[in-house]
Amino acid sequence: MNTMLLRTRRFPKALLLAISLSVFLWTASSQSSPPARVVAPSQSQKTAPDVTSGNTRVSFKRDVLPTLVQRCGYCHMKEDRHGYLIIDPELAYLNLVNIPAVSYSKMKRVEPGKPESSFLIYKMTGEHVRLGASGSAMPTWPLPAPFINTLREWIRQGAKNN
Amino acid sequence: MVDELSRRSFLKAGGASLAFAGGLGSATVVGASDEVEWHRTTDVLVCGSGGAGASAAIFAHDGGAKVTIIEKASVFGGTTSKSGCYVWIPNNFEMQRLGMEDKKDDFLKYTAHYSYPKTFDPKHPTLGLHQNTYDLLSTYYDNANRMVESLMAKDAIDYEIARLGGSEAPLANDYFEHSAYNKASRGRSLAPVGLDTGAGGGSNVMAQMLLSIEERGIDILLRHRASELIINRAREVVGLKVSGPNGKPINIRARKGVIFGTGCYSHNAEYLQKFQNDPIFGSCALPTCTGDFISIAAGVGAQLGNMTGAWRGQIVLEDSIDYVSVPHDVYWPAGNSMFLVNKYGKRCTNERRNYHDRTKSLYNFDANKAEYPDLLTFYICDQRTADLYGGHLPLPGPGQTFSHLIEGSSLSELSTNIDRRLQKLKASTGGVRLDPSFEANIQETLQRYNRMAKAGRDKDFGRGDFEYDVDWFNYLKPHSSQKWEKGNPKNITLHPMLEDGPYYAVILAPGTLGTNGGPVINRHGQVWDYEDRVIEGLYGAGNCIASPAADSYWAGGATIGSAMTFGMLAGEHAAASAVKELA
Repeated sequence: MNTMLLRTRRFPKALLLAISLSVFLWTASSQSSPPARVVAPSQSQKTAPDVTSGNTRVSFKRDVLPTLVQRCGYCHMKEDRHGYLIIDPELAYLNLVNIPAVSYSKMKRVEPGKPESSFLIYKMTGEHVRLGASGSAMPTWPLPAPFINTLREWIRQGAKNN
Repeated sequence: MVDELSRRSFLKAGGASLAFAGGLGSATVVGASDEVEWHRTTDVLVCGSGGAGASAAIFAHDGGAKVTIIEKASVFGGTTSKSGCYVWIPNNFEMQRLGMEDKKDDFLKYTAHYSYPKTFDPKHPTLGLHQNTYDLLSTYYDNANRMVESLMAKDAIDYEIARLGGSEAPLANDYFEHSAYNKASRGRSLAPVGLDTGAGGGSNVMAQMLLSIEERGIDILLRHRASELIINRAREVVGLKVSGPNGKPINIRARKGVIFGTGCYSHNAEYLQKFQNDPIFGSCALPTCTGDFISIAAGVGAQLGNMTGAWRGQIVLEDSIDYVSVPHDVYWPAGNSMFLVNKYGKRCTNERRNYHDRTKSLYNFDANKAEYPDLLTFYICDQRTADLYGGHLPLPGPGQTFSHLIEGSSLSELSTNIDRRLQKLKASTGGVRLDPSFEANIQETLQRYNRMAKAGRDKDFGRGDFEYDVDWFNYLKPHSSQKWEKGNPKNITLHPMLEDGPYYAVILAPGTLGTNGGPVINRHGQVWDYEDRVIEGLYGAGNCIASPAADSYWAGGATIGSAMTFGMLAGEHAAASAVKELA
């Protein structure tokens, strides 16, 4: 096998940041009808938005939620609630925006318009230690800086459930 | 009509297996196509979205089958997402590229000897193993590299040879690297590209596999739990009853087969009590790992195997109380001026051996006291290790607070504080407390440990005598410090403890990464009944089946490597199989 060839086809890491979940959930009334789509499928998005210009509208459902679910949801699920936080397609927004941080009550997890006052950013960058908050930086496998920038920009733009 | 195939009727039909399985499970039998209302139809139904399920889905699809995945959790990826996601691949493409030899005969002897020391016979045609166990090991060798290379060619994963930190670091070695039968002790472990440079571990691998699955148009139904198999009169599996998000039953017709990759039973208290010989306090498996496949497969008379087995590791006791699924196992206790002691204040294992074997060693049973003296162990370190290795498990990082850390200005005060903590936690430990001799013994332990450390030789447990001990110790880098000497030139894993406090402790307990018992499969991933006959249409892979590893952990990636390999084989076989008719 030509391993060099495989190397040239290596999956671009930036693309992984943009992966979204294609989630099809059947509702109580739709067992025999098409499933309801609750998160946009990833096929329509192959790259993370460029937030460096400040002009890009960041979409929670398109640009933020899929990565949050994929990278954090395996611990922060309904059945466990690490840190009393659920990050799944249905409840992530409600669990994040305007909810006080458990380990640092002076801040909300996400305060719309104010990334500098949103504990989520501190926790993901390890800066929570500087605040005197407890615990480790999250997630276990650190999120790349471009996604943190996207998250910060989404908050700056008002942390809308868009 | 649809009738419930009860345990009694199955026994009448020759399904004596159910008695052995503890009376678990039932199945629905159909006799004609109009007897069940089918809500969805697919060729191959995959249950579970971890490494085994995702691999099965991709290969089944690429084999020409229409594939549907159901996942009980609200997120895709299973426990694999949480892991570092090494895969252990004998004779892999990287070893071949580097000119490293890994002969099949050597691989089989290493795995057979490590997993089945009692029956192992190097001169026996199957090395002393049951024929099917031998076949599974042989199949693993023959197909693991094909699995990795195929998935890489499909852009579904991206792996490289695992090094213990940086491009010049040693290759990751197997967990019984000094076994007389291990002729290729390095190189079999592959790591996700970028694991050590922030690209992420299993969550990134599963994100990439998810994209590959989405690109194939495979439907994924989250929050759908498998509940009962649907079989025809020929006892072939033709579908599955599923409980959707609303709890209402959904019947999914699977024309060619149902593949389970649903994870372990670590979070099923009843099964833990039934099947595990020794106490388990918690697991880092996802909370959805409740062994659903065991009762479901037992409902069609599946043969169960390796039910006492697990991939083991020590966990922070209080993590197991705070969480359903603990964040981490304590893979390698941080630092080298540290040791583990039991409730008597005595060391009880080589702290640098791999997490699985180290955990097994702590199930030492004292016949005189009818107790496990080492069941709870106490990680003890000095200020030097706390400063140099803070942030490595189980220590908090610089500036971090960690409520599970116990402090003492002296060993005496530390002993008092540990026992106070045990008093608080007694409802979760069976009432374990420090023995009155602990305080005196730990002073003696420290003195003896320091004498051995200064000499560079651990006469009691051989810490640092093996390549594994040294290489994996070096993998965990210390913080820079002008204050502390980092290594002991005589034995880098064994540094003297400071004679003065403060000292720190964390209570550790035996746990699992996941259990690995369940239905027995053959080399195609097909589930067997108790007559060693294939149950047509039923497949399994991963931690939900009887692992040929038994109660051994061959190397980093043995769990996911074998899961993805047998997932591939199940997916390929199911896709190529005939449609199972309803009538």
